[in-house]
Amino acid sequence: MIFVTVGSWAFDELVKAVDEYALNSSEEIIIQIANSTYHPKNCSSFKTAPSLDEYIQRADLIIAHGGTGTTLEVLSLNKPLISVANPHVKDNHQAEFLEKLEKLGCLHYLRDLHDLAAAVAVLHDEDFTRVNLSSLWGGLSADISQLAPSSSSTLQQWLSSVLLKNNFFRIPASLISQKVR
Amino acid sequence: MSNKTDNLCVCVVGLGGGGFHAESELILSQVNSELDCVLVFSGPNGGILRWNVTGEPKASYKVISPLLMGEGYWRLIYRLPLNFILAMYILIAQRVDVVFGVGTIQFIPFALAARLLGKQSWFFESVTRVKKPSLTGVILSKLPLANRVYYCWYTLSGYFKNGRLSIGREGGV
Repeated sequence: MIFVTVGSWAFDELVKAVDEYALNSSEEIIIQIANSTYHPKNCSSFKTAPSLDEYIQRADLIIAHGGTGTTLEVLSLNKPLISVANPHVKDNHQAEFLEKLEKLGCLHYLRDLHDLAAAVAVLHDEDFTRVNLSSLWGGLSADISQLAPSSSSTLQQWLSSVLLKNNFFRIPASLISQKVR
Repeated sequence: MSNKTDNLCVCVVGLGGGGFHAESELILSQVNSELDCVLVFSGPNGGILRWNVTGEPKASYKVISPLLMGEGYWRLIYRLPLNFILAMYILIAQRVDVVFGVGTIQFIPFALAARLLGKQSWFFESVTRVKKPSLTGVILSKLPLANRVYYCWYTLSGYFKNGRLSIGREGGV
């Protein structure tokens, strides 16, 4: 199965290109289209879901926009990924990010949607490079590990206890979903 | 009543389910010591309320989203001061040790509040920023608000003179 996601943005160009590819493909294709206005005719689609994990886990190949959340999630699950920079994003920073990750061998950065079929064929055959991205943040995580908690004065403790009597803007713990990989 | 443990209390700002959120989770899940995390969500209506890091969060708050997609920067003029007041409230009430943020403009009012309260504030420029920093990165490169600024790629070293490279070499993983 090929799973396609555009995150929370609209990305009509990608949705349309995959739909055209689906016309000549026997493979199951599911597209998450978010706010895209183009609705696929040759494969199944949905707008959003509380979690895309189930689709990503099931897929043999992911085609996605270049958002960090999606990219990191797919790579953490060791799935082959074709990424397309969304040209509607400010500064075009997705393109720079994807170029960098492609150099590291993490994904295939698709610069031209006309090359989609060729990219899918190659990635299905290729043994994909698995890169441990965690070292990108390693220095910072190590520094945080070394930080020591500060002590509070009596005044700070008193102020804290007074303020905590009101739950302004607080979100109940039950509303926070937690799933540790 | 004491709500302070022996763990480091980290206020994580700019959550809501997007890329900054994912990066924050990845960074903090690699920390070797136990943390008390105070989560600050600021997506539309709080965004996606999730926290995929070991350990229950100490507390979670929803603040005003500083800037949503497609909105003009002028909205920052009134939203940032409002969030500064909320930041003061959260940092004092939860006795936070360090404010931590990835990429988000939400970091600015929290860093200012931390500075006034004598707390640490650490900012990480998002991994997506390869050649140019974000607006928040530009502000932090000019104003001494954050105690530490980290960035991922060597190409940004010209912008962050006092910043720290989180990996050792260009493109190296």
